[in-house]
Amino acid sequence: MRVLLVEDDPDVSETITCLLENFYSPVEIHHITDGDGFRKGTWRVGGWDLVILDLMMPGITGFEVCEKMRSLSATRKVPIIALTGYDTLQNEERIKAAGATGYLAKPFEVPKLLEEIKKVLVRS
Amino acid sequence: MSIRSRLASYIFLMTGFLVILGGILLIGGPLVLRAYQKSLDTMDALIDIRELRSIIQRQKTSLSRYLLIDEPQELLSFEESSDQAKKMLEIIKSKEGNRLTSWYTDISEDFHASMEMATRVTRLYKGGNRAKAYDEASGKLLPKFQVLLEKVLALESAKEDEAQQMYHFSRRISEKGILVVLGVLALAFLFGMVLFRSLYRAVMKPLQILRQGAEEFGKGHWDHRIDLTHKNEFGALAQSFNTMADNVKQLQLQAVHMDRMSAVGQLAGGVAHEINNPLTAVLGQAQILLAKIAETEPIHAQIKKIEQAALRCKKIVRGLLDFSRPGQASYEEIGVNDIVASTLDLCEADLKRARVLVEKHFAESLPKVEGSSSELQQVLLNIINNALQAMARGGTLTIETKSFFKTLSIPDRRQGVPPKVIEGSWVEVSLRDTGVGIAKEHLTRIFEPFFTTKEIGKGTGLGLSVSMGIVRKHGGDLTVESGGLNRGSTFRMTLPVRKTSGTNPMRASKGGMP
Repeated sequence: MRVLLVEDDPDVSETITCLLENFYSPVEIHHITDGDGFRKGTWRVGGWDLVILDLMMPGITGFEVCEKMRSLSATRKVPIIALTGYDTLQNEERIKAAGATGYLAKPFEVPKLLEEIKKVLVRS
Repeated sequence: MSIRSRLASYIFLMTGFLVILGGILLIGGPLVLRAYQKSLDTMDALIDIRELRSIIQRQKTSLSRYLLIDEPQELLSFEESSDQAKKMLEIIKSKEGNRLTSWYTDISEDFHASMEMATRVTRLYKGGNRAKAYDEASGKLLPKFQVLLEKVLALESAKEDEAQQMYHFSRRISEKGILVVLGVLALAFLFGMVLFRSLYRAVMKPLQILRQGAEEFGKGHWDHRIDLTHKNEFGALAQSFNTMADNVKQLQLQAVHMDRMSAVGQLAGGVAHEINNPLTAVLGQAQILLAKIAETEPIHAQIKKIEQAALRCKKIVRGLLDFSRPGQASYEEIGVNDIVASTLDLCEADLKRARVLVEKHFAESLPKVEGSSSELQQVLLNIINNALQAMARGGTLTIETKSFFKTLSIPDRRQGVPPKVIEGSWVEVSLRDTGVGIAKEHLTRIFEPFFTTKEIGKGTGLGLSVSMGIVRKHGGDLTVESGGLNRGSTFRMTLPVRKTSGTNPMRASKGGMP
C-alpha cells in the first residue's frame, strides 16, 4: 500500500507510520511535513492508496492541500483522512467540503483510525 | 435647609417687602396729596381775600373822593366796587361751601352794615345835607370801613399762615414718606443681598464639589466619591452619584475579571492543542502495543494503564478545549450517574492516595439531562479536587444523586438582575466531604472568580467560578453549605431534566421531595 502522510509533528508521524507498518505491511509511506515539501510536487505522480492529512502545518493548511489534490486527475479520487487537534464542527464541515473522505480528532484512538482507514478504502 | 425651602423663603421675604412698600405708597400718597390740595385751596382763598381787601379799599377811596369833590364818577366807581365786593363775597361763600366759618359771617355782617351806612350817607349827601353826611362818614362810615379792612387784613395774614403751615406739613409728610420708602428699599436690598449670598453659597459650593467629583470620576479615578453631607437636594444628588460610581466600579471589576478569564481560556486552549500531538503518540503507541501483545502477558496490563492515563488526558484536554471555546461544547442527552462514575474513575488514584473513602448513593433510574459531558465532568473534577485538598488526612466523600420536582430560584450573578424562578424536574448531585470545611465569611465569596483560600500557586481561584459558569450555562445551579471550620462541606449541583425525558422524576427519585 502506498500512503501519503502530510503531517508536521514527528510524534504523530511516527505513530501513524508505526500503525501502518503494523497493520498494513508491506506499506510505502511518503512523508510531507510542510508547505515547501508540498510545493515540490513529488506527490503529483499519483498512485496513492491513502492520504493522511493534518490540518495545520507550517506554510500550508490541510484545506489547501485537499483542494489542490482534488483538482488534479492523479489524486482526484484518492481517499483522504483529515486529522486535527482543533476539533470543531466548522473544521470538519470545511475539510469535507474541500474533499476529505474521512475525519478524526487528535488524539485519535488506534482502533478508530483503523476503522476509518478500512471504511475509506472500502469506499474507494 | 433644602434649596426649595430657601428659594421659597427668598420669594416670600421679597414679596413681604413689596407689600410693605405698596402699603406705604397707598397710605402715604393720598395723605401727601390731600395736604397739597389743602394748601392750594388755602392759597386760592388767600387770593380771593386779597382781592376783596383791594375792592373794599377802592370802595373806601371812591366814597371818600365822592364826598370830598362831589364827582359822580366816583360814586359810580364806589357802586361798581360794591357790586364787585358782593360778588367776591359770594364767590368766597361758594368756595368755602359748608365750611363757612365765623370770620366770613363777621366780615359779611360788617360789610353789609357798612353798605347800609354808605347808602344812608350818600342819600344825605345827595339830599343836600352834606354837613351831616360828612359827620356821618368821618365819624362812623370811614372808621367802619377801616375796621372792615383791618379784619380782612387779619384774615389775610391768618390765611397766609395757614397756607404756609399746610405747605410745610405736606412737604414734611412727603419728605418723611420718601425717607421711609428709601429705608424699606435699603432694607429689602440688604435682606436680598444676604439671602442671595446664602442661596449662592448653598448652590454654588456643592455644585462645584459635584462638578469636580464628576470630572475626577470621568478621568478614570474609579475610587473617587463625592463627599457632600448636605441634607438637601445636592446631598441626595451626591448620594445617587456615589451609588452610580459604586456600580460602575463593580462593572469595571467584572470587566477585568472577564478579560482575565478570557485570557486564561485562550491560554488553556493553546496549551491543550499543543498537548494533543504528543498525546496522540502516547495513546497511539500504547494501543498499537496493546494490539500486538497478548492479554495474558504481564506487560499488557501495564500498557493498558498507559492507555487509560492517555485517555484521561484526552478527556481533560478535550474539556479544556471546550472551555476555551465556549458555546462549541457539544450538548447531548446524558446520564448524570455515568458522568459521576467516569469522573470517579479519572481520580481513582488520587482518592486512594489521599486515603479518601468514597460512598456512592446513586438513584437507580435518573432522568437524563441535556449537556456537555466533558463540561459537567470538569465541574465534578473541580469539586472532588477541592474535597481532596480539604481532606489532607483522609476522610469520606459521600456522593448522592437524586431527582425531584420543585420550584427553584436560580440567582443571576449580574447585579440587579432578578433570579430565574423555574418549576420543573431536577437532577441533583451532592458531594459531601469530611474535610476542613469553609468559614462562614468565605461561603458567599467561594464562587467569585480569583477567590481562593489556598496557598499561592496551589489554586487559581477560578475552579469554582468556572464550574458555576458551566452549571448556570446548563440552566442549573451550584450551591455550597458548610457547618463551619472542620465540619466538612457539601456542594450541590442541580441540573434541569430534559423535557422529552421519559422517566418520571417523582418515581425515579429515591428520596422523593427533599
